[in-house]
Amino acid sequence: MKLESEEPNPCLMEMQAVCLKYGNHEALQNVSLRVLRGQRVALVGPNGAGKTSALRCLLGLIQPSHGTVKLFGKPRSKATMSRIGYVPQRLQLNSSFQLTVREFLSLRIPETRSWFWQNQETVEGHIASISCDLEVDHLLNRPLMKLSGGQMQRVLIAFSLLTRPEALALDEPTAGVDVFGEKAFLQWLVRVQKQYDLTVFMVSHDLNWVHESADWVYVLNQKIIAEGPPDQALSNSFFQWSPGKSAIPPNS
Amino acid sequence: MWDEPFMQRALLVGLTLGLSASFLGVFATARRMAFLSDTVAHGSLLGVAGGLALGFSNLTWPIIMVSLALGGGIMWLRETASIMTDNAMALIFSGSVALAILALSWNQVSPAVAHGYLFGDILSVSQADVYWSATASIIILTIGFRFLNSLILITLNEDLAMVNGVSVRLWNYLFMAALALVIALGVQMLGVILMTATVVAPPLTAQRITNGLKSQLCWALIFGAFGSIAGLWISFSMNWPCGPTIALTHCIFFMLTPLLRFISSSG
Repeated sequence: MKLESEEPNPCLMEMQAVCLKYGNHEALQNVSLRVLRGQRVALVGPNGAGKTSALRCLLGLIQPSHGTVKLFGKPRSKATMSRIGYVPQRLQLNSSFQLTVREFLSLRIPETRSWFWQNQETVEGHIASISCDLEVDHLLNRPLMKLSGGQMQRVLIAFSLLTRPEALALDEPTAGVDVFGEKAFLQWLVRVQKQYDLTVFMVSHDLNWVHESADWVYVLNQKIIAEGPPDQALSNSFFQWSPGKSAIPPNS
Repeated sequence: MWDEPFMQRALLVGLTLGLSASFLGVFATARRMAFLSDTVAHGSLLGVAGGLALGFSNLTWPIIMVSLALGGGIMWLRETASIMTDNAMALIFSGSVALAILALSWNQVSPAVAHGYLFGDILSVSQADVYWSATASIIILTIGFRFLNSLILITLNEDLAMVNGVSVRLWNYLFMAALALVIALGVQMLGVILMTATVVAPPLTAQRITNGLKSQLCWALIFGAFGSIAGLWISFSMNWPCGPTIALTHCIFFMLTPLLRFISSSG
């Protein structure tokens, strides 16, 4: 018998009046944003606008100097964080670290046993379906170090999805992807979002993708200077966006 | 030769520290901390100078204290200082070695004693060092293998590790303390100049012949232990100084890896 019925909170991630200071530099000024269930929300802005800082505040990686952050309607906790998958821009890899894709994905397997002693069958049982769905199964034996930018992002997303999160937070996922791979990657991301019923919050510099695929856009330059559906938010003169123009002009 | 008590002590210290140093070395090299290890190793000479000045008969404790302080100081600088970590380490490296040499000179320590700590002295390994090395290595390897997930995630991306519930700051300090402890325990046998070879060479040798972190860890431990034992044996047989011989053995293993790779691929 179900003792308690709880309507899922429509707002998965929320920042209210968040300010962040690095010394005397004010990185974020009174930033408020909301990410609703099922949406693809993009955070765009010029270099140094505070996009990554905002994402790090949202995930609790840095404490804002002022304001509140809520995940699933509650203050950030281990339980709420486990419902979000974080996809960083890159990993700090060098050739002296021989971690393979299979070994990396197996880090996510919830087991009491140490990673080193996991048996092969348990690992395969956990990662086979996701790696096949996300088209990374042919990369499993390859060292992470030797992946291209697009392959690395797919693997990072597969890593996040192994615990079946409800939302993905991505930090500039196409930063290390070449122009040809970028479009294919973003189309693939939309397919994965639908397949896994995910909410996506993405820091992005790719205005074409944002224009075509995002449901809601926040334009940040220390503070939120525009928000709304892509047509409306990107019509702001700050961007002078036009189809085919993908890069955001540097902050002047 | 293994009947000699001093060789048995050296063997046990070499073996246990070879294992723990190479384990930590896999992560230290991946995190570009080789220079940091070298800074702590050289800075530990300050522990020797301080210990001698204060009249310690066994210098293990002063060396450990100074190494831990240097490791903690470098971590603190990484977190808070506005100057680049490499630059800060270069300053600490030069400053601590300069102060140590001056302190040795003020205390009129004989060049032979200083030489022993610079390049290692097999006779300086005491029974207490054996217990300390074995205990430290068992603890480091047990905790390390149990919490490999956390160590790997921190190595890959600290933000990703934090989001996955890893206490990054705590683990960074624990890792630094373990590295400083292993270096401090090894410098008496290998010398401050050569200790880094035991940390850096086995993981790099293993990396060249393996595909996968699990096999890299296993081979790093094998090269770490075998390199120390082989170096010790060569040192005794040829009557060569212990520290340089062990360090050179590790380096020769590294240089021989193309050959090992060729043999394994053709076999």
